[in-house]
Amino acid sequence: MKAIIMEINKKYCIVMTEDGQFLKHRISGGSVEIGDGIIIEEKNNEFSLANYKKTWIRGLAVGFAVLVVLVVGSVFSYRFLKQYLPISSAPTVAAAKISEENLADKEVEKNLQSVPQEDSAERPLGESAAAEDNAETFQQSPLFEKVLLLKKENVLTEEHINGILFSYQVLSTEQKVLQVKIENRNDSLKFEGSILLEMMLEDGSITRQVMIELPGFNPGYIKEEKIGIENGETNFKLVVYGEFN
Amino acid sequence: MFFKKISLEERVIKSKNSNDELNTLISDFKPFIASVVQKKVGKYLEYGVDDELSVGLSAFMEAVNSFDVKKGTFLSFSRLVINARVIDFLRKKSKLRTISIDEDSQDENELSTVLNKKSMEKYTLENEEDSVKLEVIEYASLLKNWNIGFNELVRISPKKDTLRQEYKNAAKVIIDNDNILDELMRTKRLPIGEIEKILKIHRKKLERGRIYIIAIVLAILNGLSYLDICKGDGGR
Repeated sequence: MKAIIMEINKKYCIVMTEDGQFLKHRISGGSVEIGDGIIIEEKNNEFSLANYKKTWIRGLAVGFAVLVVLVVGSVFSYRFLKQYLPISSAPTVAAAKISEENLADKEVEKNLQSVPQEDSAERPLGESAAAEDNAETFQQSPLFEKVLLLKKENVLTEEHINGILFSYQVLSTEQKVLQVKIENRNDSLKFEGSILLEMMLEDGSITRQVMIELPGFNPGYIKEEKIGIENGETNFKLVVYGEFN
Repeated sequence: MFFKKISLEERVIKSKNSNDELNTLISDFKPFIASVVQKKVGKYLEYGVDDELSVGLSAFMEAVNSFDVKKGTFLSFSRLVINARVIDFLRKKSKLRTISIDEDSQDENELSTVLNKKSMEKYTLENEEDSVKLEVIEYASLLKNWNIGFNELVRISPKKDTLRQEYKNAAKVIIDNDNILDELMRTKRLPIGEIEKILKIHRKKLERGRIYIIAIVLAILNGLSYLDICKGDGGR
């Protein structure tokens, strides 16, 4: 296509094509004069090819972005929903773990039966009494069960149980202490029940049980406990009993 | 009618007696002078930075003063004078390092005499290319009066042939309609309502192409023969 040089700049010239289009054209200053006629390539085909490529790249980018959003969204929404779903309706890895824990529980019960009665005097008074007094509670099916680690110190870990927030951390003072905080975050539901902590050794054997009673645990209530960690205790099983009303 | 078109040669004659006219002429021809000098030197030059452009400007003024209307067109003549002076300058620049000043000035004088003679012989030849160059210079000057730059035209120039054709048609309508053209020239505003009635083009479309339409109108009025649209129209 014929064009005429209208203006010369350092790295480009402005040309006017014979069909009245004004274009920038790469010609270095010094090689042409204003008013010189030149032949320029018609960019229609080139542009369409470029546009075609651009469209493809843009389409792929959009598709990829949508895919990423869907994947990330589904993962997060699943995690979000999981904390509000009853444990029975969410067959997850946690459930598989619980079944393993049940086996461990049976072994613990056996151990407890085999331990002589005198040993019970060595246990902290509150703990054993609470455990025995709530024998009925043990008979109920738990709302939640999970084995949690005690290895990391000063790291706050949270568990959401149907609106009950159970958070804990291991404090490293002179003696290691397990600090737990239980909070009812429901808007209107009151919790009636208890939380059982089964302190365990690394091999899964239970050393002792600590019961935290939560009678009439209204929305907004907070309860905090500190439990000393004995030698060899590396994890504990959190068991929640009770109901919301 | 709307442009009392004065030929370049007439402007040059006027410039000989009027400094204002000379300044306007130089201002209009600055891009042309730069392009001639740049082509001779073979690189991009900037006013206020490169000495070659100062030489070009003084050569242009020399051409204005020594131009004789009976012998031909000014554009060819001025280009020859500019080229000759730039060559003088370049040779002087390169020889200064090796040859003594007396010898150099003698050479320079001889060269200048020869080139001037050559210039005076050559400038009588009419060149078709020169008329296009002159049209472009005048067109640029016209657009400048309307505060329209070529960069802006690149930006707003329609890429689609059909749209460009619609704007060209609008420009033709303006040219053919004295009232619309008169209003455009008087107010420097495009009478979009009038054009809309005649062409049935949407108002917004006309508004978007306002500057381009004005540029086409000015090109036609200036008789920019390069444009297809101007062919057969002859301008005004």
